[in-house]
Amino acid sequence: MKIDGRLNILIAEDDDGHARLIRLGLEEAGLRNPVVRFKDGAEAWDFISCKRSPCLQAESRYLLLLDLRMPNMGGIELLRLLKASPDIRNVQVILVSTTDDPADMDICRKLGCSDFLSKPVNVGLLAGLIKS
Amino acid sequence: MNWLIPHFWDRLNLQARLALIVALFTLLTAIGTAYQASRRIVRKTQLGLTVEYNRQMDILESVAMSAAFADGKDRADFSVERIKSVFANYRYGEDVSQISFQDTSEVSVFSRAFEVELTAPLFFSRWCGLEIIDLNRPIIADGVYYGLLSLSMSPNNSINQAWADYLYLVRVTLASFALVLFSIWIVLRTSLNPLLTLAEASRAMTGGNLSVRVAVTGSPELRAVLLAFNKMAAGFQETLASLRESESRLRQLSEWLPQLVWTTKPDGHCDYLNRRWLEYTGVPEAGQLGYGWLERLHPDDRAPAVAAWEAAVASGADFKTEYRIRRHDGEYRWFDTRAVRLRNAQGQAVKWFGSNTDITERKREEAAKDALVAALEEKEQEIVKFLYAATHDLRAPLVNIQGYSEYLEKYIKDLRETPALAAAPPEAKAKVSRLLAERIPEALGYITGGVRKMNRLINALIKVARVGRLEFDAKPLDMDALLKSVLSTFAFDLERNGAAVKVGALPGCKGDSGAINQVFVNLIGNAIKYRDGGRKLEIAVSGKLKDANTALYSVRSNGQEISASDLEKIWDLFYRVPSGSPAGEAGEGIGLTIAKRIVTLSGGRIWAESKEGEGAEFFIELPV
Repeated sequence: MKIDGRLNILIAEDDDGHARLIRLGLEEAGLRNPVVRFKDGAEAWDFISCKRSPCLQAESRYLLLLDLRMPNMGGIELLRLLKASPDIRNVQVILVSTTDDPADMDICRKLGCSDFLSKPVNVGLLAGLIKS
Repeated sequence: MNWLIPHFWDRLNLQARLALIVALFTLLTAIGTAYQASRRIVRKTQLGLTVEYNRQMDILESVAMSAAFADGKDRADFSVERIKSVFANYRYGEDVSQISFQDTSEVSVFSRAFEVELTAPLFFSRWCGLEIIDLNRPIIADGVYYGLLSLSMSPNNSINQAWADYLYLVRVTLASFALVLFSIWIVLRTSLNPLLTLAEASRAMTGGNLSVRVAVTGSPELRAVLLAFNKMAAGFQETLASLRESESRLRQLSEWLPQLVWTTKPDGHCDYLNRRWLEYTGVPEAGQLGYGWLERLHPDDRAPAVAAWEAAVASGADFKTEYRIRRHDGEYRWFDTRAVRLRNAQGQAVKWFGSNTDITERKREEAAKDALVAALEEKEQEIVKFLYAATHDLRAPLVNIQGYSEYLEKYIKDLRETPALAAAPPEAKAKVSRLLAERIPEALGYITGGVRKMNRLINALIKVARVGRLEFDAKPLDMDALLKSVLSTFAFDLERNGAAVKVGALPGCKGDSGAINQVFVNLIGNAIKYRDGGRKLEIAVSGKLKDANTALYSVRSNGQEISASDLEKIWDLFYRVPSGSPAGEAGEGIGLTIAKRIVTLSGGRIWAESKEGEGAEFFIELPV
């Protein structure tokens, strides 16, 4: 996947500090991709499932940095909804957790998300994933 | 043929049948003989009579002739006077019933009748068929006809005689018949009677009277049979007596037992209930024998109890079950019921012996315990959940502290390099420089150091919490392969430390492969971490079967020994030996805690032993 203007970064994160850290990291890495931030899983799912405007564009590609534990709707629940919607093909998920608990990684793998990062997000790793 | 046999025949015993046959036979023979004999008598009588009559007539004729020619006369003199005097004086034969003489002019000159009495019965006389015979003879002397001599002869005397003979014959016949009957009776009495007695004795014995004996009499073979019977009866009596005695002992014993005790026949029908059972149920024994006891059971327990009992009776296996029995006051109490099948010396099942033990209290305690355990397990799950949530939540603010501290470091660096700072007055510049170069980095250092420490603790907590959340999938494990894989993960560390590792043949065991792997990773890891720098590290892993159900493994290393006071503490969460790792590698203080948790959850046991100067040995017991 090449970096192009069409890869949008979605951040689903309830902690403002954490969200801001990711933005800082992206800026630091010189990545200028559009970033949309959601305060919980439900908000992110509204966007992805086009329940409100602005919403997911079928022709664009998205990378969702998904926090595991959030109010309203957690990362796992959102992952399940995504998996149950095979028509949404242009969203790739990187699960972000506060710990490097292998149990969390297991859940991520079982639900078919592509990668797993533990907080604080290592910007180098994230940039590497985006660039690859 | 049955219709031929009279009904009463069935009622007769063998003795009577035999006697009757012989008697009938004898009687028929006797009657036949008597008949034959009497016929002969009659025939002889008839013959005799005819001869007698003629002889009588000859005599009479000669008497008449001699009378006529008496006194030297040359001519016959048949005068009436002469005839009368001759015949009057003549002594007649006893069969003569009438005698008469007619002269030439057919005038009766002389007539005389005699009474011959018939003493025999009339039917006999008729049966003989004899009649009065009249004989006439003309008296002629020297060619001169003098008259007609008539003689009537009665057969009565002969019939009387024949009757007397006949009666005699009948008497003899009856006497011989009686004699035959008597001798048969005697023979049967001496030979059959003992057999009948024997039969009666056998019947009595079957009826339960084992003290019956028969008199040993009769022929030698009979005596042998009777003797054998008596011996058999004595044997039975003795066996039964000893059986009864042992049974009564058993019952006496069971009366004293605190349990409810019962016995059944081999077919499962109850034939005895001890006093406690009767007292407990408050129902007399008679109503509870057979399968009557079932009514005392709780309705819900009856069907399963009967099914289990019938299965035990069919297979002969020990009976063990639990059910509720109704007490006299209506309360149902739980009983642990067990029964075994008793066999005699010949291996035949003779009885079931069973007992019921009141386990109501135990049941209550068990239920309370189960409820407590369930509650505890629920609490533990809650704790595990809480721990999981708490560690994640604790990490969230740390992420910010950690992340923004890094940015702060970076911002301060940027600030120090800001050209505007160079233009500041010297005092302010010195103060800011000190803050930026010393104070703030120092403060940040404490913050990041604290965060690291906090992180370590939280990570350790997560690991411990994770063990509690694991679902153990117990499968047979190939421990040789498992240890090979564990050692391969330490290949680098072992080589770097020049360690010598010896692994013996290990028996298999049952457990969750990942979890048991973790146990050995922790133990080998500790062996490396707590090595003794002063000597070459040696690690030995061995194992054996402790018993049929348990495998025992040992991980021994020649590193740092564990003091006696630490042997128990090393399993505590976050506990680290005060001396620390000789190699200076700080542990998290959770490795052994996790190992112990895994082994305990796998149904095993783990402990350590240590001798001064010899390092430490860890033992792990796991189910096979």
